Amino acid sequence: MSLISIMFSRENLCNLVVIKGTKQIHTFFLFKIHMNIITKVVSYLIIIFIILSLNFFLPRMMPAGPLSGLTSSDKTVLEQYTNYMTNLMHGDFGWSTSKNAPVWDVLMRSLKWTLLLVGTSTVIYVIVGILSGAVSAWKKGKKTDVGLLVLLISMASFPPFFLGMLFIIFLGWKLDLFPRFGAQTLFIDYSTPFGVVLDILHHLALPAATLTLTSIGVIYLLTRNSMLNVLGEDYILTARAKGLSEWYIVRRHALKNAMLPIITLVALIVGLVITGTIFVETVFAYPGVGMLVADAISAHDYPLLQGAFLFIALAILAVNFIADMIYVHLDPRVKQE
Amino acid sequence: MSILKLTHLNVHFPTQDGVVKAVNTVDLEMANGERLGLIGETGCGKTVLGMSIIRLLQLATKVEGKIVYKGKDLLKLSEEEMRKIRGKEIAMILQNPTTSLNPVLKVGDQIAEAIQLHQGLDKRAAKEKAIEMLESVKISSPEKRANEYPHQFSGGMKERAMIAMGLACNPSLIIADEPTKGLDVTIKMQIVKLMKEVTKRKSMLFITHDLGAAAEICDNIAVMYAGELVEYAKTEDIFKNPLHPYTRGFLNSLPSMGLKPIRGMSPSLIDLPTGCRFHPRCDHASAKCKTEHPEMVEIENGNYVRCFLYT
Repeated sequence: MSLISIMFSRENLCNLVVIKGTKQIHTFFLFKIHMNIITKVVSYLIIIFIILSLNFFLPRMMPAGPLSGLTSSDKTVLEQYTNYMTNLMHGDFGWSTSKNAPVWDVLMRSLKWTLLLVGTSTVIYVIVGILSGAVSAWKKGKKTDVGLLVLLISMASFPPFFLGMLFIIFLGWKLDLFPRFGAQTLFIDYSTPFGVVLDILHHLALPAATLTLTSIGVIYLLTRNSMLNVLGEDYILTARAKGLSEWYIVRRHALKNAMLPIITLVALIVGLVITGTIFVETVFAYPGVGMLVADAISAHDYPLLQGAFLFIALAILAVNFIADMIYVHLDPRVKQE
Repeated sequence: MSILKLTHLNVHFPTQDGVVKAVNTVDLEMANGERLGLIGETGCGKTVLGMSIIRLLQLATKVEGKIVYKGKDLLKLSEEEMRKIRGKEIAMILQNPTTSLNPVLKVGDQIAEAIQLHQGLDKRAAKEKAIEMLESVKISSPEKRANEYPHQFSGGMKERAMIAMGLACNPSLIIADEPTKGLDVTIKMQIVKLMKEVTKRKSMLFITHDLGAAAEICDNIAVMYAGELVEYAKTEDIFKNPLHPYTRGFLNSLPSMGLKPIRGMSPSLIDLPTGCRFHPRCDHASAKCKTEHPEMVEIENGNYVRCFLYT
């Protein structure tokens, strides 16, 4: 699963390789400057085509083969492939054998929960990660920095499913503060819509906290390092020579520069978090796309698996696209072209 | 009346290889309205001297002595009080404009933020003032340029923008660190002319290794070698009659004077030579120079030199 996400974050991996020096990053992005909108759109279309093809072939390479589970087994692979592609163009994602419903409908029912879970935690870990990284770099070597470093790095070293289990055991079961599974309480009539929202948030708290706490460390560490590099630059000295306050310098002069190498990496991390929801949703029995994937694997439901993979891959691609747009917005040297 | 007086200034950095003695017992006084050139080779401590005045060195740096600006010892001020002086009272024009301008902020905004901070103007008024400043350093179509980013500026224009930034709050003292470094000859001439014009009736410490630029702009010149001053004289005297062997060597190494370099290398600031710091490279060195350290002595009407040839 994560293999797929990494493959389609290929561009990000290139960035990861050159993260060591900001100067190198800039030369790398010079290549980007010359890519105008059309080539960008074309490259995204090509990537989508590759995703679709891999999405077709990868499940067919799995042990226990999907052919046994599919009715169209009398056709050749090539025929199946063209069939699959044509159907997709018509919005037909196939029939889920385990849920006995169209894949599209099954996915749509789960998608909102995953969006809620990943969306909420992503907003929190990106913002908190970047701010804590900036503060840490600003207070380098002081108690605040060391405290944040130890806390967030130890949080990041927990595997999500393990932290999730700890939460369920202690907060869900021993203390009985949070529900232990699901996205909302079933068979309960709430008199007000407020009650429904509260119930949903109550269910969301533990899985979102798990995803947030285990993801925050990476963003924090990247921001801290990038920020430390930027704070040593000459223009920071210029800003100090103007008599500006340290926090103003961090906020206005350093953060924007420090963000440049981080943005594309954030897209990569969001990709990894999206795949990470498979574990978190399974642990919390949260009815999202991730749990659907786990179910589909154990039920050998290949059409559903393909559909879910496709959704996840497209989501990661979308995040990459957003990162590209933000980058262009932040760096005037790219915007000019 | 003096605007700046340095007394027994020492600046030392602890590093892994030992203590870097960048500035050693420097005594220097600048009169109000004086433009003083601080001259020396790369790595002689002149930039560190400039930065120590405005207190922009790292926290670990040990600065001892007195830096008296308008009667106040800057070394005794709190960081908060010092911030009110930086940019407003004392401005520093840092070297390397290419890396000293923030690449992601508009040039006009980078100038305006100091004006906004120190003169209490709102954003719009500060931006207008910034455009005026760009105009005063002779940048054409300043309204358009103010909204551009540093990468859209040429090297000479970046230097002009740095100068505009330094002058923005009308400071009493300007410390200019190598503003002509890395510019080609014609641009350099323009910048020197501009510096001379905009600093008229202002006090400026002009740090440079470009003797021609210093001769054009400065009233007096102080020569620095291995972290200490070796000669101080009026500009015309130093060119007509250089006293210290190092100053003479420095002048002779100019292309127009025959391009004769001083033999040897400038010493490491960690491991300074005994006696006179210049003796290993000096043609006039005697046994005394190797063991005893010469003091600054006055030769005639305010010209000083640190050399046993004149005692």
